[in-house]
Amino acid sequence: MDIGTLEKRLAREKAARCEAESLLEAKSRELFLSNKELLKASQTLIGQSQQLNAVFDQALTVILLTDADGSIQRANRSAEMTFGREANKLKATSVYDLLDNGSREAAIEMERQRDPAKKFTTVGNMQEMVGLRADNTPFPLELAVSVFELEGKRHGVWICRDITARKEAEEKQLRLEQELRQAQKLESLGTLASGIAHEINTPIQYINDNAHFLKESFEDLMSVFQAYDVLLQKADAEEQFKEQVGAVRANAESADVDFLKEEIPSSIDQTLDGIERISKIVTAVKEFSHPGTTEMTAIDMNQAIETTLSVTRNEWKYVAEVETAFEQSLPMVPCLPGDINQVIMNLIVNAAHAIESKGGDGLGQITIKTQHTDNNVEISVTDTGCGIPEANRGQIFDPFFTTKEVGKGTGQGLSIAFNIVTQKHDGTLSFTTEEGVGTTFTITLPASPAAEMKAETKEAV
Amino acid sequence: MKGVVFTEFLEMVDDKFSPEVTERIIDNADLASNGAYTAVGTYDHTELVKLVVNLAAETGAEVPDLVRVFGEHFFHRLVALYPHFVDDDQDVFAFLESVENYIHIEVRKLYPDADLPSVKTERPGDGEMILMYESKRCLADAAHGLILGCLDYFNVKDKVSIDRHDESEGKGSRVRFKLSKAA
Repeated sequence: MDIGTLEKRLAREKAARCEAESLLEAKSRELFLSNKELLKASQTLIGQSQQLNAVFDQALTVILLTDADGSIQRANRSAEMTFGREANKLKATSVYDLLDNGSREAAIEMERQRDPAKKFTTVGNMQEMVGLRADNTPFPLELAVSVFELEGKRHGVWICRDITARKEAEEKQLRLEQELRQAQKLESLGTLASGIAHEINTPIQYINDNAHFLKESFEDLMSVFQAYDVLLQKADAEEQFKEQVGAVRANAESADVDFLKEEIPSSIDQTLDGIERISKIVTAVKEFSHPGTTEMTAIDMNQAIETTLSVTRNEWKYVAEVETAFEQSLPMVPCLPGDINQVIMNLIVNAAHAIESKGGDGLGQITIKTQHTDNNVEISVTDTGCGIPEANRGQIFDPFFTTKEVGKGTGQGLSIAFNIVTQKHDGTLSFTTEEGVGTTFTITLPASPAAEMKAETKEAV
Repeated sequence: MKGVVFTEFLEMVDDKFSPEVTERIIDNADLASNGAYTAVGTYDHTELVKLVVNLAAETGAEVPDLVRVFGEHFFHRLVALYPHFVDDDQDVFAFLESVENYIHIEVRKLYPDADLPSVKTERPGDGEMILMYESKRCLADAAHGLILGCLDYFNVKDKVSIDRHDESEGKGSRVRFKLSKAA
């Protein structure tokens, strides 16, 4: 190769090297810019991913991502809490296993409604279904399913919301409305009963007066009859009055005067007894329907129990005998009379129902005792009924808890009684029970003036 | 067109003719790049055409023959430069199928701006392959040379016949090569 050729080659190689260096620099810069953009894009993606993860995990609703077969691929924290299952256990679960049988069919049907031509579909609106917790406890939930396709594979997004609290609130509201209607009805009945009691009082009064008049008059008549008997015996000895005496004796026999003399006084006594009972019931109805005051008032507790027993007689007389053991020296008890009447009534009626529920041939026994201990008055209502099963003992004071058949109890009686005794009177309401043997409810109320003051202050607040 | 084609072409002229011939065809071609090529650069493909035309004038050989010879030479050089693209145990047809589906994809990773020809293949029957070359640069002769180089590399040059049919009215922009293995 001659020198000229070599020089040309050298010049070309230098130019090529310069170009290669320029290219290298340009590529380095491109690489740097490209890396910078990639880094920025990657940071944006990481940020978005964290944001989406946070939304996914912190969402108050349950979010489940499934594959085409309904197998859970991802579940958020709300799902873990709602279904009571850990994330790794949820992952291996079919989403349909989180529903009860009926809802499972409905959910499958929901997915069938999907238009296969669409790559993203929300199937229908939120629907109410029944979910299953880890221990298979059913609970109400709302469910909506979205279906989408990603890289040719079908996925499902299940959005659920536990609506247990809402359902309970709705049921509670419904029951409260029923209670209110019932209370309004009872109030009307109370007013009506009070009116009837007032109307019955007047005729009872003159029936009572007349019965007493008849009793006294008959006693007078009896002395007249005795004089007639003496006269008749004397006339018997006289031949001239023989015919008249015979006629009088025949009339007396025909009228069965001896029987009348014997029976009329007891008939009048029975009538007076009956009138007294009617009068007592009427007074009790009046007292019960219009307790008179909503302020703390000192009452004779024994008398209040007697009144309540009269009013509730129809509830217990066919199933139990009632025995009272009242402490006669019981002090007056400061209380809200209407409320305490209701508590005692609830306990007596419950006792009767417990005895009825136990069944058996003879009558059961309800024993009501009062006694004074320190500064308290204790009232106990004991029945020989079925007792309270151990499983229910923790719940009997809960609102709406009842084991009675439909129409026989609202589950409010003991809850209201507990509230009245503990909240309004600073007292206690406790029970001892033995299944198959019976139950004793014991009310303890403060009898001291201090308690009265406290209760009055509470009422004022 | 990638600079490696130019550098390899000039190398071939050096080898097969002489450095003086190389310098003369560069001088006579009046090139924008002045013939200063680097393998990683990109240049106007018409410069190659000018160089080949000048080489034909210098040597008295036909342009298509020169281009085909260069193609055959270039195949061997590519194997030397990028040996990982070739599997020696591979069948020649399988290799040709990999040009479009594998090698061109790898080339684009290195040179995203590379403007590569389309090389589609099909096998109509046993021992037969149709290779369809398409490129606006009309370098079907270079493609032909590359195929020949390939057959040579796989030692089947005598066993595979090539039937070439231009489907672009002689422009060389769309050419069908039918390769048939001898029975």
